[in-house]
Amino acid sequence: MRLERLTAQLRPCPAWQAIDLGFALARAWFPALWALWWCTALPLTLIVLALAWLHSDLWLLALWWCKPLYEAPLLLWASRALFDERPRRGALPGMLGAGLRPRLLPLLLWRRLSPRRALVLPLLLLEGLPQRARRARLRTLAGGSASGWLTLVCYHLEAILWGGMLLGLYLLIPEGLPGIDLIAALEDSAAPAYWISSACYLLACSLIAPFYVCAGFALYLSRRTELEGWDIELAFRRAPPPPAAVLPALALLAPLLLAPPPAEAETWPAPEAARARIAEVLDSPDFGATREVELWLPVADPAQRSTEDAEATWSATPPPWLAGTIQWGLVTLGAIALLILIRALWRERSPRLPRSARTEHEAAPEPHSASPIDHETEIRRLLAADDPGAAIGALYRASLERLDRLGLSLPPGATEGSCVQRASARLPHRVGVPFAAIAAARQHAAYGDRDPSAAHVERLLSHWRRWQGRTDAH
Amino acid sequence: MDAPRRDIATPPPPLDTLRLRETPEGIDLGLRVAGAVPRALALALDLLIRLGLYLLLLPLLALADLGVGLALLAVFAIEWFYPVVFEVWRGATPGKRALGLRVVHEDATPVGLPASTLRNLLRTVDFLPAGYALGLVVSLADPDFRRIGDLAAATLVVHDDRPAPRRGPASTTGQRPPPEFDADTRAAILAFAERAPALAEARRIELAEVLTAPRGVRGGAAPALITAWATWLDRGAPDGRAA
Repeated sequence: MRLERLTAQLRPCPAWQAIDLGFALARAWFPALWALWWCTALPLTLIVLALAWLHSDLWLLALWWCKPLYEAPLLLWASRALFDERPRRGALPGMLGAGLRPRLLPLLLWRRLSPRRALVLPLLLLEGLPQRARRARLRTLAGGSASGWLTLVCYHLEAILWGGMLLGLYLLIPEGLPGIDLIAALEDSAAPAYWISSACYLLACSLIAPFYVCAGFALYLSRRTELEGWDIELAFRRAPPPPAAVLPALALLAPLLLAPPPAEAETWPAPEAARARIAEVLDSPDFGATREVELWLPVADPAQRSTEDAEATWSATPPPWLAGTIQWGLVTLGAIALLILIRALWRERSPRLPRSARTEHEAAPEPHSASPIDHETEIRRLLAADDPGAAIGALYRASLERLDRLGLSLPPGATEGSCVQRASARLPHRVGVPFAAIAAARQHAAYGDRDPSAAHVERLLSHWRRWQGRTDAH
Repeated sequence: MDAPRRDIATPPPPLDTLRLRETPEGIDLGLRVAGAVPRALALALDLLIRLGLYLLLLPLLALADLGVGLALLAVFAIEWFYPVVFEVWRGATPGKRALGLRVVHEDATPVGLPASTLRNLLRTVDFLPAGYALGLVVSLADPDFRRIGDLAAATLVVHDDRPAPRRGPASTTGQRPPPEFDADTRAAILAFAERAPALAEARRIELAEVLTAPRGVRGGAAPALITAWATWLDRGAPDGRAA
């Protein structure tokens, strides 16, 4: 055993970390190990297929039971590769026969279902001890190792890969093509789907086997490293040799000479020389360097400020009254802004609406609202044009304008009804009545499509004229 | 940290699960990446714990539709936030803690909220097509055993370092080891002193002679000499310099 040629870093570690190291080894050697697995498994697959024709469940069971046969060559290969001696092609037949050695028979019989199979395999294959010693050895090696968990988890990993492959196939086969019947793939051993499922399981086994074997091997190695101090031996072998000047005779005396604590044997440099040396070392760029940075800082000291002002190159200083003027100007502007703001807020709060908003509920009263005379001529013109509907509208608008002038505030968009309600509530009765009649006629015309007769409009117009006269006097 | 010594003639560094991350202070932190087996067991444990939490939700179903709604909300929260909360808060879910695992960023800093959220959201991708099959394949193929979520979030699942029990101070002053021993050899000397009681007597002498035979010490005196060296190293030199 040549520990110098180890291709893996071995150190005593908990079982989980040993298993992880095994997975790392399997990952590095995966192509060779996978090919080797199939080299043994494929001929056997075909032989068993011939024997158990049409019995796919028996076929799979036989292949599954023979797993140790394919795992032994993997372990042999890994044990050589660990010491950097990858087997050549010529050694292949010998390796493939590794699983057939008689001492591996227990693995195919009563040890087949042992959860420690991964750990037993290196013991049987690589050590070849007589049976009694083997049992004691296994007890020593298995202490504290997680080989049972390894076997359990690896069975589940196989199952996950198998299920993933089967379900992936099922989902990825396009509609219209003959798909896989998942129920038959699990239960009906005569169905073609079962054969596909079995093939998937075999593939999953082949993928997990290198990891399983290497993880068991790593558990074995980790335990031996712990028990035999492999890592210490390796480090001791790499230790620097004793200086050539020391002759063997002197070397024999060396432990005796070194027996007292030899602290005083060393010579120390003088303190001054040491300080100079320290300063020299600290000067090196490894311990930092100086660099210049420019930045602005407030001048706290007034004396310093005056000297700096004197040194300043400014030719003209601003007149002293300028700052005061600017200050008062800013204060005045601020006061004005405050006043404007207060005024705006006051307006916002007041219930009075701007004039334009109050007349919004009628479309375009403005051009015709110059004077009562204008209203009357407009109404008469509309009557003459035989359009009493438009005439009553114009009369209504003129009345609204009148109400507005009387100080009755009407919200924008107020209906005729609410205008009448407000007018009767706020104005004296005799003032409100003519407006109610005008509004009623206007409502009939606008919404009921019943235009008033020209005579009715005439009558209302005369009422309105009187009303206007009264309210003017009022 | 026993870094592998390399020069041009030597083969590539040995396979290992230890990943070194250098801190700004120039110190190498060792991360032992965790593989599929412990992680699968941690996942199964977490699954059991979540199942227990779901059983606690069963009385909610007595409240008819309201209860079903509340239960569904709780299931959503547990399914998606259970790993994130535990990873950000304690560094690992209870299942991972039981297996001695921890989630860290790739630079060995503790995992943060964005990375943890990302790696746990991508569990849905790792799950495809059934039972985390895709995550398993990716994890087996990746040198650091990362699944897709870990690759996207730049995180690692590592074995937590449990502090080793320290030996008590020795009563003797020990013996100064030869000056030509480098750091690796000194570390091995200390390791020998710690593990010597567990080794067989013959193996202990054989092992010690590897180091002491070139210096002329053989037989039962060899382990004693190395233990004396280790005592000297462990106490530090009398003038206070680190050994």
